[in-house]
Amino acid sequence: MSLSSGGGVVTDMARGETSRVEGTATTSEAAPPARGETPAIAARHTRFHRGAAVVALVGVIVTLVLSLGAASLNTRNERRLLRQRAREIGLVSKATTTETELPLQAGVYVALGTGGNAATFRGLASLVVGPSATAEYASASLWRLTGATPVQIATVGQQQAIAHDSPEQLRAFFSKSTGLTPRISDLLDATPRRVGYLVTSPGTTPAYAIYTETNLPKNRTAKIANDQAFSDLNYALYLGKKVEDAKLLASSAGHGLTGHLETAPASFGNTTILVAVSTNSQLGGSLLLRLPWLLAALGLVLTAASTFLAERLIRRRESAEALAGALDVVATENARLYNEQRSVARTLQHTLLPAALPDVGLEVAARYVAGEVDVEIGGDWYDLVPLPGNRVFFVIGDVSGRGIPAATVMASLRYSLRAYALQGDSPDVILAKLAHLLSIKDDGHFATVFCGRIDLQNRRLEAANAGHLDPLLMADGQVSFLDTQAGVPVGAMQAPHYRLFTTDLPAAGTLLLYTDGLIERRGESLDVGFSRLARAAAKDADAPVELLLARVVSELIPGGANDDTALLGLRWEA
Amino acid sequence: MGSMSDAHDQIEVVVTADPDGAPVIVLRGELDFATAPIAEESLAPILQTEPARIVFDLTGVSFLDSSGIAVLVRSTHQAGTVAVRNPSTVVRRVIECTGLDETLHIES
Repeated sequence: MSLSSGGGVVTDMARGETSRVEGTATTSEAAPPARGETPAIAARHTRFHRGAAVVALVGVIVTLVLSLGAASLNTRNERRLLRQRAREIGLVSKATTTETELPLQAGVYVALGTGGNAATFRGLASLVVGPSATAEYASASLWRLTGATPVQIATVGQQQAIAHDSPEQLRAFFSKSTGLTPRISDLLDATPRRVGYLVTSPGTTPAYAIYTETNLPKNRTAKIANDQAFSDLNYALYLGKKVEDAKLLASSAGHGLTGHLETAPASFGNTTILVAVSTNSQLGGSLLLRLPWLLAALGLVLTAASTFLAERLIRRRESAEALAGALDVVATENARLYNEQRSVARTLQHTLLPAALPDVGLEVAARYVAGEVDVEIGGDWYDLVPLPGNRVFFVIGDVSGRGIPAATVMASLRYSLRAYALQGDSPDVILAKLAHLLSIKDDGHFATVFCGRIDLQNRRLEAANAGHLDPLLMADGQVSFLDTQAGVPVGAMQAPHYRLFTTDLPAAGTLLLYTDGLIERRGESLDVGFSRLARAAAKDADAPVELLLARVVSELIPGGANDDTALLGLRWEA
Repeated sequence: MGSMSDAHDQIEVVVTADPDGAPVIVLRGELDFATAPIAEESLAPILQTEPARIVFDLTGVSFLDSSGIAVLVRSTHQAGTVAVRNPSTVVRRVIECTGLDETLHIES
């Protein structure tokens, strides 16, 4: 049963690290600074982080730039297409005006050929003049210009604008003729709104003139409005070079255009008409129109997503930092508790060791070096008991395992040893008696013990060794380990036998006792440790015992030992 | 805060058997204060059978301290005979210095 309890102690120790980590977790909730962190973190979470805001801003800007870029691209494309269409319409208009000019020019030549025959003119004119919408002209008249006053030879169709002009007005009107190129009269103010065309026969003094008028559609809607090729366009024709409602000849919508226009001039008789177009739909296809919006939507979605992601990452990092901060606090607190616990354990151990060594007629010194690694105390100890008859009993030992159980075993062994020693038992008997008190099977511990008696009168040493490292004897400038033939450690087996080791001591000398922490190193034989100790001791053989121990410790375990280490030095003078 | 779980504090325990049927505990690594509980845990079921003989093969053990020795010594109370096979000189020296070279029968 106690085997498992012993094992339990060892196991607890082995888990020391783990349990401290667990302790960390529990302490984190209890630690006030860690708790203080929590509301601060919560408060920070309520607002948007600057990093995420930057991501959002950049996302929005990029989206905006892309969308505007696409929109501008689309607009430029639309305008380019529109200009192209305007030019196309200009060309169509040109063709149309040429169609208008031809019958007039033909009519002038016919008049020349027939000597201004009225009947012939009427015959010709009736082909292109009429009230119907399909007729080219609303009226046409033939004039002879050879006299002082222009004389009307024949007229067909509605009454013309110049019907009531005085001879002077007529002269002035015909004198402005531009020959075969029709001279356009702006009759847009008249009712019905119309345009006049004047063509005169070739030559410097024209003989005949033909004057026609075309009514503009009442609703100003152009005939080509239904033309498939231009169905996606709004267009308007203006007389002259300016977009001016008063000069509107015709348009697809029946009124002037607003919004973005593209214009193209087309020659029309002696003047110009301006073709203006605007779109009533997207020319470049719907994708290009929707592209900016698509980009904007996509950009905003991506921006929102990356903002969300950034915010989440930032928050995660903050929690991690907060946690790390909290853990730091816990670690500090843990370290403090650890040190406190360690200091308590050390205090306990020191109370178990002799507070001051008794005066036994020897120069004595002892040293206890705590292991660096663990909070748990070791079971190393030493003791010194003056005996009657100028004798002194000494012991050094090491209980296996660590912690309070090992220290308890150590205490019990120490006091038993003192009792047996004072009772006058010899060292071998003392160890045999101790073996009855401790069993690794029942207690989970064994102990290595070296004890002896020095008879100062006769310079004689009696000693016994239960599994302990042999002491170092320094005398006459020589150092040597006593060969005590160690028996088994106390508690290792039942009823062991211990040999009594006796030797005469030199007149003056020093005996150095120690536990394994002093010489034991991983990966090297104990013999190397023995040699190291012998060398170090020899170097300071003449130093006071106190100083000798200090030097040996600083030489052999300069950085502190892993394991607890005890040293006891005894010096007798001649 | 301690270095008990350093890389060198590793022990590997493999259990085989000798031709005569005696369990052989092959240890590899360092048998010390940190690893002794692990070795002991692996040993427990074998020791519960109270074998007449048990062998610790220490060929692969580079370090043995008093806690490690305690593992070996403790097993002597449950097994009839405990043998330590092929310890390195370092390990053998520890056993000798502890006066246990007769209790733990060293086979090399």
